[in-house]
Amino acid sequence: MLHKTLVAILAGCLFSISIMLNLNYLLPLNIDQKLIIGLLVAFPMWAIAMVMSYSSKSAKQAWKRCGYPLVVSTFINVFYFMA
Amino acid sequence: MKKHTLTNLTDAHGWIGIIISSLLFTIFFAGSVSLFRDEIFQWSVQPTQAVEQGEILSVSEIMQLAIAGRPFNAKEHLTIIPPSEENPYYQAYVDLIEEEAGREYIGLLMDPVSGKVVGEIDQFILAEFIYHLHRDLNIPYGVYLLGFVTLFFFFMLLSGILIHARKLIGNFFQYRTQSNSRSKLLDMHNVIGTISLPFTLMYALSGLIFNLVIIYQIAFAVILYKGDQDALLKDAGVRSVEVEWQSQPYQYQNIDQLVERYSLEFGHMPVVIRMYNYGDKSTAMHLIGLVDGMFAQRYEVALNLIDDSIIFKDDAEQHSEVRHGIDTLSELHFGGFAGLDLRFIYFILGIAVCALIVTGNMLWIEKRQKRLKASQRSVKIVTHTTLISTLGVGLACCVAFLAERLLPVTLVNRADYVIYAFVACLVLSAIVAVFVKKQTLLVGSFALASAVLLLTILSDWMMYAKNLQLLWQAGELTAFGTQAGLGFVATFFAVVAYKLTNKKRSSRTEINSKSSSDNELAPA
Repeated sequence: MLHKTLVAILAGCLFSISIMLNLNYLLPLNIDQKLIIGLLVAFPMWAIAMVMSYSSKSAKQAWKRCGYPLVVSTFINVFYFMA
Repeated sequence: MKKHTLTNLTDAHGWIGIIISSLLFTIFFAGSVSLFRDEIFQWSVQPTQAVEQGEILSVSEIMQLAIAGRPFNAKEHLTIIPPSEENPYYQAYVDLIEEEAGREYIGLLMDPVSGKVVGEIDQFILAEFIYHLHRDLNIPYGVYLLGFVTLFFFFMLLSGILIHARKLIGNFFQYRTQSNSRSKLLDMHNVIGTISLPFTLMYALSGLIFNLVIIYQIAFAVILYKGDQDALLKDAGVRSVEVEWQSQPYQYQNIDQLVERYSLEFGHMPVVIRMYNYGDKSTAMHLIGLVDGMFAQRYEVALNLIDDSIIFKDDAEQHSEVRHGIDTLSELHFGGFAGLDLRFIYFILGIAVCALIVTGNMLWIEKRQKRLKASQRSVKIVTHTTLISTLGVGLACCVAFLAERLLPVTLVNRADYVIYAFVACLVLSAIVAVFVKKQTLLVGSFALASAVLLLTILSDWMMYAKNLQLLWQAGELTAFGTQAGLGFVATFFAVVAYKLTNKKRSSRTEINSKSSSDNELAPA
């Protein structure tokens, strides 16, 4: 349970930040609108990542479940950051 | 959903629920009470003061009275909160020269008619203390701690939906009164959870944004804004006034006219009036208020008083959506967008969530008790913690109410004593809970809380009967409303204590009759 909690908090936090950054790059809105939408989306994303983590059989599976979307989202972050 | 996924989620739901339940109960209980914090504050202050009737002093007059005879630090701020429906007094926060005054600022409560200082705002701590118990537990970094509790609460809600998903519609109002106690508890937990779901989701999300926004703020400032925190805050609608001190004493006469002008423009008196460099030629004024007829739309105007030039102006047309979004969430969170009736509904829902937490803990305890391999020590610890965090916190709040009323207004460090009373009661409850049986503790706590609240109302009348009569004649009814609320809660607690006593007696009689019939049947 402790390992799953670690995944839930750490991967969930990183995933939500990454999603929020992507929304900021992708949404064709003003910066203040993007910031508030990002905030409203980020926390539910974090909570969903927690659900994914805790519903896993083991910490390894939890890392896999949360890790894949995190890696994909981070690649998009890097792409936009470099572009 | 696969069976093992559901099992894992149910396990996590139970364990995390147990771990966060004490703090979560405190958040919801204190939050529900602090929905009425303006009323509690008025109840604290009003009976202790004689009512003055007449014309209300202007903002500029109050400013002069607030700084008179005090080591006012003009290079900092002077903040005035005008009287409103929620608070009949002027509140003035005067920044002081720390070397002379020994503190950074003083918060004054001023009579709007005579301008007399009624007392320091911090003296009447109860309402603010309960609110901070909800917000940050009155401890350093409590905001972040409660932020993470809220995050786990959000997880609990989502996992609860998934666990209950198949029966969410079919068993929406299922409550099996004839079945065993576990089914009853489970039904109660599910029904409360389902009914309060939109409310709890809103609370979880808004609570997270209030408490943990710092995480995203840091991430954005570092990645998107390349470390420029000011630019981020500007986009987020956080404005600050910066004016240069000129060392030229000057008293502006146009303060009241400007306040009046913007009150008329936006349809509401400013909620906050903050002066910068007050008394200097460079004086600037910052007004914050609500725009009439719009949901959670605030206006902010900052002006240079020398030429009335606008430093910045935010209103319905020009504003940051972040600021507006957070204001909207704040209105939803505190139920500030409608009247007292909505706050009563919020209160009932808040207390219902407290019941949700308690039933959740009871379900966990029952389940553990039935498992042969489960540690009975863990069951005892959880039972003990649940009792302290629910009954203890409730009783401590009642004692804090009594302390707020009984302590003399002129007592030095009065606020500290109210907090000591709360903490002492909580610690005492924890100690007593170790030695007393669960049922006796339940009955005793409810009976005691009821007696304390009744004593509070009685003390009101014994100490301040004359002022209360004057308040009644002046049509100021908030203190009486609060008394009625306390009276209702006291009656409710008394009824619960009575019912629990009856239940205790009947279960004892049942056991006695069963054992005597067993003896009769036993072979000689």
